[in-house]
Amino acid sequence: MSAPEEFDVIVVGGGPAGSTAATLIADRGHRVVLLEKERFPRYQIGESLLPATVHGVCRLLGADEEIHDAGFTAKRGGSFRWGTSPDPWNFLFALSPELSGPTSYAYQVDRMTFDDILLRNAARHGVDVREESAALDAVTTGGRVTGVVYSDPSGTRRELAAAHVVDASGSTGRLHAAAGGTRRHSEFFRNLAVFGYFSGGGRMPEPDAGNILCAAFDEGWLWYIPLREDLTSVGAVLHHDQAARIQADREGTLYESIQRCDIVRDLLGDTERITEGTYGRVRVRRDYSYADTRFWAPGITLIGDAACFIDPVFSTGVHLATYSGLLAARSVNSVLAGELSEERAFGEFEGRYRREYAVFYEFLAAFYDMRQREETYFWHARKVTDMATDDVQAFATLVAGASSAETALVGADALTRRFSSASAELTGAVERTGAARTDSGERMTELFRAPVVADVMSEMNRIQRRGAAGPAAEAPLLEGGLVPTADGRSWAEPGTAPA
Amino acid sequence: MSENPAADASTDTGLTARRLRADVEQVLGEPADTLGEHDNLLDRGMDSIRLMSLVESWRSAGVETDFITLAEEPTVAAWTRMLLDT
Repeated sequence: MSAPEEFDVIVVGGGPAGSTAATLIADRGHRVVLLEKERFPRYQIGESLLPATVHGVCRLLGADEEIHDAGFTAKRGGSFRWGTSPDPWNFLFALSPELSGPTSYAYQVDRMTFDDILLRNAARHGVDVREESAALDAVTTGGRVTGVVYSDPSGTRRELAAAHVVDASGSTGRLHAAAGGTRRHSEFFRNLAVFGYFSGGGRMPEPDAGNILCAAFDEGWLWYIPLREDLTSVGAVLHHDQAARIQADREGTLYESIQRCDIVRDLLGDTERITEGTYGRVRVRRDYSYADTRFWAPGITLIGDAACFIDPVFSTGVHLATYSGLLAARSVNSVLAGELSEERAFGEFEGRYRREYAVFYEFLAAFYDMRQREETYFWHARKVTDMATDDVQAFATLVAGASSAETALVGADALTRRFSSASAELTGAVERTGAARTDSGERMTELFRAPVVADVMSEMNRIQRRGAAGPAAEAPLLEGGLVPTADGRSWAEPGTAPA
Repeated sequence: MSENPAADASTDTGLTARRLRADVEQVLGEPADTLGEHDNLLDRGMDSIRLMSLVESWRSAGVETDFITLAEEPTVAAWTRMLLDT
């Protein structure tokens, strides 16, 4: 191999996490190369977005108009047939009809189009985008990651060198090991998803027609995502003990699950499954939740699914991807400018990222714990009171990372009690809010007041606010932590950043 | 940005009744001293983003508050009472 080509930053992976990080680093004038193993547009699962991505990060990327013009289905929240009530209830992004505003909706997107828009946008911002270029290995020099070996479109091995590598290569990438940690899975959220696409299907009444619908049934739950008038994504999330059944007959398992779930069965009616082209296959994914014990090491940062993944019921995949891309860009920019040490800058990255993962983890544990028909195995296995001590300790490790192993050894009972109480609060808030299509169901006050929901919304609200209204002084999120600079692309010590 | 209520105030200066009213008028684009104490701010153009901006600005000035609390009673009088009466 010839001498390595040199850049300031190498980003591995062209999904939303990688495109976000690459764009915001290139915006500061750094030389950024992005390696993507496929040629875009390419298929991807994870179609339901949250407002923080659309109005916060995409605005910062300068891609919001293009996203707006792409004609994606607007989503004002999620509708859930979940818990004891037979009627669906809403989790809307707006607090109330009176207090909506520009950021009270997100989109359902076909990821081929959405991801392609973000990747082309990165190229327009100066990122050297190389498709059909698969990263093979990290290059390490003296305990520091200093480059990447990749295979170019002709299959030739090439080497790149850079001050920093950002691994956004997803759940199947190989580079994450170079950060020196291990990937820990959560037993509590070990599910399998089997899914396909239908040529239309019914819609919920307006204004909820664009909502994602998540509907529980005895053996798991189904998603129903209205992507376009003539395209609906439908998937069944089942216990991992169904693996053999799914493997034997994917399509049969999907259809049987739909038949077990009245609301989805009725919406689909006799709509046919698409059997040709990109959307023509019934696919299977493990959607096990996991997190790496290390999110960074000298010279390398993990973002998106390369770092962690959490159960998809609340549409968090692209949010955690773009959010971590934003955090990583701020840290890389701060270090490249010589303004902060790697420890300080990436400590903030990891602290904020783990906090966001943790608040969703706790929210989702509470959400799965909501009263269902508990005699069924799927739901019984997801009661937090039945969470094994091992699981609780695993949670503490997932959330804390390698930095505070002692928290994993104490307080398992306290954590279980906290999860149970969060679940009771959430159940109560849902009951008080009431069904969708009622006045109280249009008002999210009760839900947003539940502490576990408030925690989930707080940082997302800040990201949206910044995207929509521009810079303003922010208090640090973490004790002793940093704040974003005015342009949102790096960190500053609090009190030193002009608003 | 003209909508930025913190643009003319450094952090940690604390929140006063005068600043609270001025910040509200600024995010709404209203001239000074034109808001009634008890005007429903939702009727004067307050939306979620403007409300989040106020929360952010006041929190960075050291005031403990949140979006839901302010949204429940959206008047200058109520916010003055909630945030400044100790």
